[in-house]
Amino acid sequence: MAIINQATKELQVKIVYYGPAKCGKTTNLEQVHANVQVPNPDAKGKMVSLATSSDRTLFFDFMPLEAMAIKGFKTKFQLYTVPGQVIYNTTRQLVLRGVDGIVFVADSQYDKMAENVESFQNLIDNLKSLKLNLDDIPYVLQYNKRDLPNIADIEFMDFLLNNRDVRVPSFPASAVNCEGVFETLNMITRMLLHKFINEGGRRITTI
Amino acid sequence: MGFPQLIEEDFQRIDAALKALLAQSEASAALLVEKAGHLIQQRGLDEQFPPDVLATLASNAFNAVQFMAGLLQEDKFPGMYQQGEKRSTLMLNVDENCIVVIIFPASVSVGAVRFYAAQTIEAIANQIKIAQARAPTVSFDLTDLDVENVQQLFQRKASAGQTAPASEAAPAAGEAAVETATAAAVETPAATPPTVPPEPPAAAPAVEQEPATAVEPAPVQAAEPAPAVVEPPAPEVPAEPVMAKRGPYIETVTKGVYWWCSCGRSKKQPFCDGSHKGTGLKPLEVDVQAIKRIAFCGCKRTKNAPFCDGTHSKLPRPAS
Repeated sequence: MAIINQATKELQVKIVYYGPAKCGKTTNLEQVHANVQVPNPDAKGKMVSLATSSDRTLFFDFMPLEAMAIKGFKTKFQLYTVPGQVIYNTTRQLVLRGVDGIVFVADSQYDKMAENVESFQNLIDNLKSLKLNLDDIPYVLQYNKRDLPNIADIEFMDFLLNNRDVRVPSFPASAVNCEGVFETLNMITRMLLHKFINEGGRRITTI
Repeated sequence: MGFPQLIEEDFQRIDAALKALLAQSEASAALLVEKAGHLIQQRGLDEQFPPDVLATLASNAFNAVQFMAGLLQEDKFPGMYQQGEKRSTLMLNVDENCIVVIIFPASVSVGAVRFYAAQTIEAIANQIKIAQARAPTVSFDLTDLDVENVQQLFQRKASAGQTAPASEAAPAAGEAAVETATAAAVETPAATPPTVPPEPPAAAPAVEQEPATAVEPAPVQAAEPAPAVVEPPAPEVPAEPVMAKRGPYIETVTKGVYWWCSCGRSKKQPFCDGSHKGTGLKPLEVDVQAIKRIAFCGCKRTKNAPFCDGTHSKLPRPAS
């Protein structure tokens, strides 16, 4: 969970991009890395990809991002992706450890709906195995690949994936064109920080 | 117990422990890393080797190896040693929440590093225990912090041919959406119907959104029209259904009996209003047991009536 360093006034949070195989999680991170405006280029972290030779994520992608999120507080966002392929489930559990916020990236193509739903359920199950509950973790949905033909309606995707007691913000996106990428990231960071503020005074670090 | 809040004093003690380790063991750097990948404190690294990236990679590698230990029915592997040509690394478990990562010249014996590190780990573990014991009394209040200037934390660089950064498109509605989402999450709503979905703040302009229908309508009451009682004799061959909508009708329905329009001629989509008279098509009775949201087929070609199965996306589009 988030680490607050009171001595240096630093807040560290972990955001994980989750979703089925080839839905564009790594692309999201690459676009953020390539396009983010940073006042100080040194503050822009390196992007690390642990991928197979065919460029499929094997362990995770990682990118640190710094910002002055709250007055007087330097916030370090650690952005991670998980490998989407079904066989890498233990790896996904490892990466989810200590997660603060989740971006669920769904593939908008009709024939990927079953995989989206399965991956979402897998997220809930994996959180459970870490004794976490999706209801307690801020998350947003991103409906990626809106530039492709044969995609499902936003409404239909909301119906499939955004049908829990509390509905969350969802964003249409075309990550390869960097559309919707920053909207998604800004919303999850905002939800995260609001959550911390609502929990102010309580012990924040729990694992 | 999770990783505690550390105060200035804790950092000083931890820093002193790491510093002592470097002095005694000839190691070049030492990091205290929380197991979720957060760097807590480090000594000896500079920009050449980004400490936060090293911390992340180390903690994940360490976690992966602990997972292996579990599979092999070992309690845990207490450390990981990687030997290099110039530099070697040793990662050692401190407690359930953190590890120490030590980087040292390959010429230094790992045994020596391990020996000195034992004291360091003990000192750090003790300090964390002190912090944990103190934690309940330390309240860390964020409520007075100003989060308004979080607005658009991350801006997209304006590239050639693109005037406005996409991130500026998020309207104030997004703010309200957060309030709704977070407030609702905190208050744990009772068994009320689902909340109104926050409108996604910034839709990519290319995407068409159904306008008002995105907001959840009030549940439809079960008092929907029953199908017409008197029907003229049906033709031998039923008529083709009409596509009422290329896509599903998403409705929240309460307990009761509904009639799903199968002919596509009803004016009260997705429900029957008797318009099927003379078509040879009949509405489908749907018995709803409890309040739920259903995606009713709008194209009337579904293979899984009355539910949408995506068939509409494969139907030919009228030539335009």
